[in-house]
Order: sequence, then C-alpha cells, then structure tokens
Amino acid sequence: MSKKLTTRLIQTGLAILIAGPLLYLLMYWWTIDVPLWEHLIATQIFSLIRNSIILLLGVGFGTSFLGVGLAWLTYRYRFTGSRFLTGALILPLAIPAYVQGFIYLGILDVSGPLQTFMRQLYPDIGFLNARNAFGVIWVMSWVLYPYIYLLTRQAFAKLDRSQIEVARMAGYSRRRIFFTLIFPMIRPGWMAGLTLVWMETLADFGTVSLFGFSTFTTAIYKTWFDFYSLATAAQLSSILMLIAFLLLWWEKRSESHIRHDSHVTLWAPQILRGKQRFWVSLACWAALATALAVPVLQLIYWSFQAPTQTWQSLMAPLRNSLLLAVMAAAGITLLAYIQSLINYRRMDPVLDRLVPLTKLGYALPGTVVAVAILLWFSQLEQFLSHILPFEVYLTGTVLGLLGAYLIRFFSLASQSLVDSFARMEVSVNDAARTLGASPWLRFKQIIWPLTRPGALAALLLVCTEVIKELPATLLLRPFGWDTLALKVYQWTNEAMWVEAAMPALLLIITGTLPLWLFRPREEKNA
Amino acid sequence: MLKLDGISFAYGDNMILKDVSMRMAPGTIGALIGPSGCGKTTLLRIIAGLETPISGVIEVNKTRVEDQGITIPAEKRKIGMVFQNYALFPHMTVEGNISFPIQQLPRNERKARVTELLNLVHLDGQEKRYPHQLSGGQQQRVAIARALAQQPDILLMDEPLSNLDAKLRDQLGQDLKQLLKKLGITTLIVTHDQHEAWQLADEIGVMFDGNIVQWGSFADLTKHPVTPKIKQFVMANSTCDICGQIVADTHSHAQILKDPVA
Repeated sequence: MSKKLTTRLIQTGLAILIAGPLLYLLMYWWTIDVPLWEHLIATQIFSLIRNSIILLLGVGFGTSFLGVGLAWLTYRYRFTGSRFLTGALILPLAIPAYVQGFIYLGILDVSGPLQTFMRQLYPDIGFLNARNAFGVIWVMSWVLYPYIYLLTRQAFAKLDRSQIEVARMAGYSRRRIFFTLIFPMIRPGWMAGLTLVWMETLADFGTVSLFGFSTFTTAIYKTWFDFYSLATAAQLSSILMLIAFLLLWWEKRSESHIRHDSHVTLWAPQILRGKQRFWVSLACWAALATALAVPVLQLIYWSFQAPTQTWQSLMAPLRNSLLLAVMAAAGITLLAYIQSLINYRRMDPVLDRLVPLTKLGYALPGTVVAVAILLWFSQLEQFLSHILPFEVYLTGTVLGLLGAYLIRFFSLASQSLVDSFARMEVSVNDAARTLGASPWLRFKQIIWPLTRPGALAALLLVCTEVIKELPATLLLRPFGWDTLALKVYQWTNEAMWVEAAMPALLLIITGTLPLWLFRPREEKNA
Repeated sequence: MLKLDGISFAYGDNMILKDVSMRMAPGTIGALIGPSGCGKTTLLRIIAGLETPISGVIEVNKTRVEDQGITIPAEKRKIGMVFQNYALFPHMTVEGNISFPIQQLPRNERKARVTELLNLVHLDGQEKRYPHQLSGGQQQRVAIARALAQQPDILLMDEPLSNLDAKLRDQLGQDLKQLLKKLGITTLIVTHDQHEAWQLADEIGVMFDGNIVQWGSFADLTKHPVTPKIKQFVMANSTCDICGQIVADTHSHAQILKDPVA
C-alpha cells in the first residue's frame, strides 16, 4: 500500500471517529414527536431562546469589562504585585463554573454567612434570592473573563509605541487614540476571546441547572430524562450545534487582516505612584479576590467542616476521575500525535479537507456530544448485535465516555501538538535524511525529542479538562459510576455545600497546574 | 564527480526544472547562481534525494543515484548537505550533532572522528556546547563538520554565506574555500549572490527559469556570455566595479577579492 493511501486512510478513520457522531446527529429529524414539540413550543422554546440571549449578552458584557479592563491595567501599568497578578489573573479559569456557582449560592444562601449576618442586624430584611439571571451572569463572568483577558493582553503586547506617538503628535486626545487606534487593533483578540466565552456559556450545564435557569442544555437533559424522548433531545441538540457553528463561522469571518511586524517598539509601561498606584492595585487585587481567593477560602473552610465519611466516599470517585483522565488523555494525545505526524510537511489536499472535521467538537457543548455519542453507539450496538452471534453493549460503558471526550478535546490536544511541530525547523528532518538516518531513527532521535513538550502539554490539558467535565459524563457514565465532578453536582443539587467543597477543591487544584505553567508573563521593560 | 542528465521537475502543473544537465569533475567547487525562484535550490534538493524528479539521471562518483524514476533515497546516498539555516539539532550538543551520522561506529572511534572534524573546522574543544550557544559562523562550521562526518561523496551547500554577518562574510568565505580545497571534495553551492559565487567557485552555472543557461568558469561567463541576459546578470551587482578589474585579469581574481572593495 502506498504511503499516501495509508495516511489518507488513517486520517479518514480519525475524521469518521470524531465527526461521524456529530453529522449523524444533524440528520436525526426523521421522527418528530409532534405532541412533545407542541408542548415545548407552547411552554419552553421562547423562554429558552430569551434566556440564552440574556445570558450571552450579560456574560459577554461582564467578561469584556473584566477581561479588557484587567488586561489594560496589567499591560499598561506597573504597581504593587503587578508581576504576580499578570499570571494569577488567569487562574479563575481553573474553577469550573458550577463550582463558582455553588460557592456563591452557599455564601448567599438563606442559612449562609451573609444573610445570617444581615438578619442579625435587620431582622425584617426578608430573603435574598441569588437564583436568577443576574446570579448566573455574575458567576459565569468571574469564571470566563480570563479568555478575554488572555487574548486581548496578547493583542496589547503587539501595540507599537511609535504608532501611538504618531497619533499624539497629530494632536489626538487620549480617548480618541483609544477608540481610533488601540481598540481596532485589539478587536480581533477581544472577539476571539468573546467567541470562546460564548461557546462556554452556551455549553454550560452545571451552573444553569444549579441556578434553575433553563437553557438549551438543561432542556436537552430534561427531554431525555423526564420525557424519555431521545429523538427530541437530538433535535434540540442539533439546533444548539448549529448555533455553535454559526458563532464559529462569525468569528472566522471577522478574522483580522492586520499583520504585525515582528519588531515592535514596546510601549514602556508606566510605573504608578501614590494615589493612582493605590487605586489600580486595589482594583486588580479585588478582582483576584472575588474571582479566586474568596471562593477558594470558602471551599477550604467548608472542607474542614465536612464529616469524615465524606472523605471515604470520595475515594472511588477520585479513582474513577483519575482513571478516566489518564485513559482519555493518553488515547487522545496518541491519536492527535499520529495526526500531526502524518500531516507534518505533507501537502495533500485530501488531508487538508479532512483535518478540520476532527476539530469540530471543541465548539460543542458536552450535552450535545453526549446525545450524539449515545445515538451513534446505540445504532452501532444494534448493527453489531445483528451481525455477531452475541449481544454487544456499548452504551453505558466507559467507551461511550471516552468517545465523547475524544470528540470534545481532540482539537485541544491537536492544537498544542501542531504548535510544537510548527516550531520544529523543517530542514532538521531533511538534514537527518541526508545524514543517513532511517525513518525510525529520525523519529526517535529528532522528531520525538523536539515535540515531546507539546505532547506533554496536550496530555496535561486533556487530563484537567476530563476531570472537570460534567454534562457528558453525567449523561454517559456507566450505571452507578461517580467521578469528582459528578459528586460535586449531586451534592450541590441538594444544597450540601460542605460535602461538595472537598471534591471541588480537588478539581480546582488539578485545573490550576496547567494554567500556572502556561500563564502569561509580564513584558520586560522597554 | 557529479553528473546530471535531463533532470525535470514539477510542482503540480508548474514546471520548476526543464531538462537540466551538467557535469562537474572530481574536486571541483561549483556554484549555481540565479534569481530567486529559478529552481536552483530545488535542483540541490533533487541531488540530495529530498525531492524526486519526473525524469533524468544523476550520477555521483559513477553511482547512479537517480535513474529515470528509480531513486535511491536520501538516507542511502552518502551526499553531505549544509542547509541554509544549518538545521542543527537544537536538543543535541555539538558532539551529538556531528556524531549523528556515525552512530554505528564504536564509541572511541566516534570520539576520535569528532575531535578530528572539530579540529578541521577550527572548533577544538567545543564538543559539549549547544547550537544556541554558538555564533552564526561557528554554527555553520558545525553543520559542515556534521555533513563531512559520514565521508560523503559530494558536498552540497545552500546559500552558505547568506546567514552570516556582512563583515565576516569575506573572511569566512576564504576560510571555506581553503577548507574545501584541502579536503578535495566535489562541492556544489547554491547562491543568489554573484559575489559569493565568484569568491568560492571554480565553475559557475547561471540559472534562469528552470534551466542552466550557461556553465563555465568565471572568465567564460564574463568574456563569452551566451545571452545578453547572462551578461546583464553577471555584471549587474554591487561588486560590478571590481568586476571590471577582474575581467582584465581573470587569473588573479581571488587575490583581488581578498581585499574587497564592497
């Protein structure tokens, strides 16, 4: 078999494995459950759409305000702790939104510290309810702003001082400089960040279900578990999938045409003194406290209160989480590595068409992926049981979970590997060839050592994402199987904040590790 | 010895090389010059075995490495190549890089070869350093030592001086020529810089649009250019003021260039 054919076969197999279930889901419109749809349209659809729009606008505004603001302050100024804050301000990303959500619910709860304290002061104050749109927006903004922070900060770092100086000498005011020069230049970064934020917002299941705020993801879950209508769940999923693709398309279409010089004159940051230093420091430290310190301290406090049985009941979920994470990360990284290797330096138009298909999953909510995997696997189950002499079980096994993780996180692993392959000088491989090295030797001594960091990063990223993943795990897990994330979900659904704190803390610790390793660094002074 | 006969190459429908032929005697230093996009680097890569031509024959010291579609792969050709960016392995020391092609040798023999090669390129005692700790000129010499380690039949160099500091270029060019002559190895150099070609090569081929239009000595090219385009290309460069002097006395051009005007 020719080399070209082999690589095409491998790539096609990979594309089917990942995109197959998704495309199958899109076609699932042949049985329409008319009464259920009538019920949905009469009672839910419009509120789902309204809720989703409120959420997208609110979270979009909140994250943009926090993300752009903090990026500007840490880029432009030097103040107390600015070096530490530059990196630390992305750490809230390590807190799953549903964890942040239950912490705020716990703090604002009727029996929580805030309301108890307020009632002591004013007994007639009544009850504060955080389970509303504003609560969800607040929580999600504090978790998701780092996407915008990270990407606009990178855009700020490419600003050229002399461009600003040209404008100043032309007599532009500060405000005009910001709106005519700086904002257009950071807009692509901001929009890329906003797209990520919106995808995560649409995909969120844990937080909205905790706050009782129904969106598409909770509706899918309900039609599946309460109405037992897989077909309707699939149809709702395909609507959500189309919205996600629409977002992706919008972001791609508005991709920037600005190409920056590699040599920019850095814009020397301003060292703040006196009052200004105080206020800017306070703003940034307060942001970090709200997003990270307060929630984490609250979790630690609750963890100490947790009864000892809680710890014992966490052993099995912890083992399951680690097992799943390691299996998924190893498998996904291996497949992504194979894809990078066969595509490395190969100009084959067929491969170029197939590669994007393997990256569709990252834009999709876990709920949608779970429904797709379930339909695909049950179809496969029927087919295999038909042609084989024994019954085949695929749904409700770990295989289903691994399939969903593959779809969701393949592009994450792939991106980190593609980057490390791209950084490798192309001529290095050619040089090894002219020096008489066989393909195996080249792989062992040149390609693998140079791409190993990328592979390790991929492994780490997938591991932490799998440990955090909630909706797909909830829908596809084998019966009676718990993970850390599921434990958090179950306990918080019953308002057992104290018990949920320990597994939540474990999730945050594992999530912090890759973020701290890949954190942004303060620019060197020009 | 290097012999090319009727080499053609295409990317898709785009013909890059059209029926290229040439011949170099053992021990000659040849240079291919021509504007960018004329196919000279592609030709070098074809000789190395990194690209496969549509048709043609390549002989290296009487061995046919390419014979109308029957190709000996690059790894089996024993052709040394020095890449434009040197392509040193960034995760290996100087010693690791140079001993890469001779891993099958016993340890002490390998060490001896590395020492010998480093001495040859004037980098004694630099075994343990990493490529990023070396200057551009040193990196190039490591790349040459690495290419020589497998005792290749011929040596190919892609733009050997272009990545170096302008001030050092003339000195390093002379050193390079001296080294190649001492080794007596047949060498083919690709460059877009006429000055570099005059300085290093015994014979020069001028390429336009996928063809070697003229192959000859410096004197041939300047005195008997076959087309007006060649005359223009050979004369038109920053060193043309010295070209005049060189044409007058073609035998001593190397001496004139030792004291460069440009």
